[in-house]
Amino acid sequence: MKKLLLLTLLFPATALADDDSTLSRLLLAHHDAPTRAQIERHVEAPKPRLVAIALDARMFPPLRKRAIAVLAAWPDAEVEATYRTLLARRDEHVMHHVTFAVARAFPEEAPSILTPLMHQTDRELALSAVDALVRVDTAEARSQLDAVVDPSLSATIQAARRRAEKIQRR
Amino acid sequence: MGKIDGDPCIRSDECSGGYCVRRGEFPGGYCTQINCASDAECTRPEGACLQFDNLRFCAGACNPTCRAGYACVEAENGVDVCVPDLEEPPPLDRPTGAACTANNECRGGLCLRHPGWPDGYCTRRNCENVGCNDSPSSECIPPLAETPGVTLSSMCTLTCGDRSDCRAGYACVLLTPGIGVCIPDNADAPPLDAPASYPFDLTCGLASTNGALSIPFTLPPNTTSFAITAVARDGRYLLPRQVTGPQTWDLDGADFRYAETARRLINVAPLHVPLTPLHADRVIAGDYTLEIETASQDACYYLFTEVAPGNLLDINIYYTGVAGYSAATAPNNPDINAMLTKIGTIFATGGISLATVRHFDSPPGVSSANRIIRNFEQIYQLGLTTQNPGPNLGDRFSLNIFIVQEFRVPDSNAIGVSPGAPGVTALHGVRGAGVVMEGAYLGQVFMGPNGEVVQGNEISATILAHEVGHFLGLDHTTEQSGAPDMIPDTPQCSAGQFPDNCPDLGNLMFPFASPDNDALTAGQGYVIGANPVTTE
Repeated sequence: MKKLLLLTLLFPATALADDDSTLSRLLLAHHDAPTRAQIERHVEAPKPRLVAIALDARMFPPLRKRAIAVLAAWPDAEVEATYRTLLARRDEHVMHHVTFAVARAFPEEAPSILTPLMHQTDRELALSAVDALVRVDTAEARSQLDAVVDPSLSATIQAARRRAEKIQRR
Repeated sequence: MGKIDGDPCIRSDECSGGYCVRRGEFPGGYCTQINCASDAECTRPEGACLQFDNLRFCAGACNPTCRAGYACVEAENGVDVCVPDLEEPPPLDRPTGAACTANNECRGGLCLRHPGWPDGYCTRRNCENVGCNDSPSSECIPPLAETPGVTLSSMCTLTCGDRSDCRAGYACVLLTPGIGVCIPDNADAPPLDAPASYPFDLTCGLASTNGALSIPFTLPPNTTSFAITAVARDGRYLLPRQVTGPQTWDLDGADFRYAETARRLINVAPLHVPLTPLHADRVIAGDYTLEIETASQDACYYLFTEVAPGNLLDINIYYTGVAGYSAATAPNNPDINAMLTKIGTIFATGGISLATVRHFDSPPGVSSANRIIRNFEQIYQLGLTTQNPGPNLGDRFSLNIFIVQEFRVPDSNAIGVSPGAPGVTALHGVRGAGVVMEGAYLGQVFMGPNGEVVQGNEISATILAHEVGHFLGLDHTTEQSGAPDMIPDTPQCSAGQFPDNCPDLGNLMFPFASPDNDALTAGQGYVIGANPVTTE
């Protein structure tokens, strides 16, 4: 009961527009995130709404993860800033998925964004960063990954890189 | 369609014989019909039915000669046909995937000679920068099988459309539908117990011949549904092809789509019939044969038949590293109980009652390795960690559920996964023996699409029940592509209604998740009841 009362205070009373219902429904597909084309077929000007969902820490996390993934189809400065904000927040629910989206949307910038994360003490975040960066097909990304597989670094990270490479092709 | 036998090809749908062989010995591809029984089937134009390694195929006639890489030979029926020119290629020129004994035999400069690569395997190491274009049907990928003694970041690998494209000892493991690579056919063997220890008839020791295994079985009178599952105890690849008997069913077709699950599970091939009330009249008593493509020399199978639908569903929940939950505390945990209550309510709408719920902790090593799911292979392998839930036959008829902490799969945003549709029944400890869900949202409260409160327990229940629905054989009511399921009483959504005005909104198997999608139709209940995992 206490939890519900708190939510009532936290959540604004304003309901989202109808299009947000449609967008949210599309985002919560059971198995695959929708494509940009699928969303634009049903929702007008979805990008700002996707950014809002991605940034809203109160939202159901799978909804946010999907919004983050779909935003990779708009690889512009606003989306990059959104991703950087989310990474800076260290939002446990979504930051791992942000690393994957960064790799998809911004392959050139990804090494500089993700490499610091690969050397985090947070092992899970480092693994996500590796999983993301192996999907970036640039010389810089390969170079950063080569540094990661240096024997002085964690064998776990090395294994993650190999596993991620393998899965990438499946 | 249209190319005649022997024509070059890339895809099977180009070929009037229905198949394009792309294995390395058939340079440029080769249109044909495979698994021909006699020369009489090889008439595109007149040709001959020949055996080549583990491949039986229709060889096309010479016209009047053959293209490069092929020789014109006279078949036993007197017809001159084009077959691969088997003259030994010169040193340094064997293509990717060819058998070899030394590095200097291979165009790519490396021969994998470990016994795990039967008869050797020509490849090129670390091909990411130089590619594999010097060999036909070759792709540069990370190694998908162990290469003891050889360190590789990537290797040239022979591509395939099906197992027939790979030589003996190799399986075609699909990377995407229709496109795979030939890798050693020696996946991890399922850790089955001795057959005599099972409380049902598990017949083992079946050996394939020429890449095929036939399993005869009988449906007794009054059978209303049945399940037959093959499993390769030696870990070899199994691909169910067809059931013959009073009727013939193509198991890779739209109506009987079992091959898709088998491709993922590699060495387990579950079949449940029927998957729709429309097929109720196709369960006819009689003698049948299940035809499987495999090289297994130690395959097992079991058959369950039912004369009445079940209405009780037992589940086994494995707590796999999900924070705050364990088998010991789960029976009295309000979040778990709220989730189970919701699942029970959902299945009750289809006439199915949630009955026994067992709670297990995954072993510590399994939990720590899988609390975060980073690739789908983890999901399939989790099935190997399941245990027999009890000594009696009834105990085996139960469905496994893994609750992990979270999915972090880079190329997927799935929120729950069923390894099969349908999944394997009554056999625990094999690949894919259970659905997997995220437990991160249990006991939490979030904001939903319209600012409403989303109870984590409720949405988790819906997501889990949806995956259980797949595991029991249900499809989405309407796919996002617009394709309907095969169940006549589920409403279908038209393009104009999608997605907000779909009449199937509210159904558990609607393709989008919502706590409000919590109903099943009688037809869906029929499919679940026909699955042997549900009991009376």
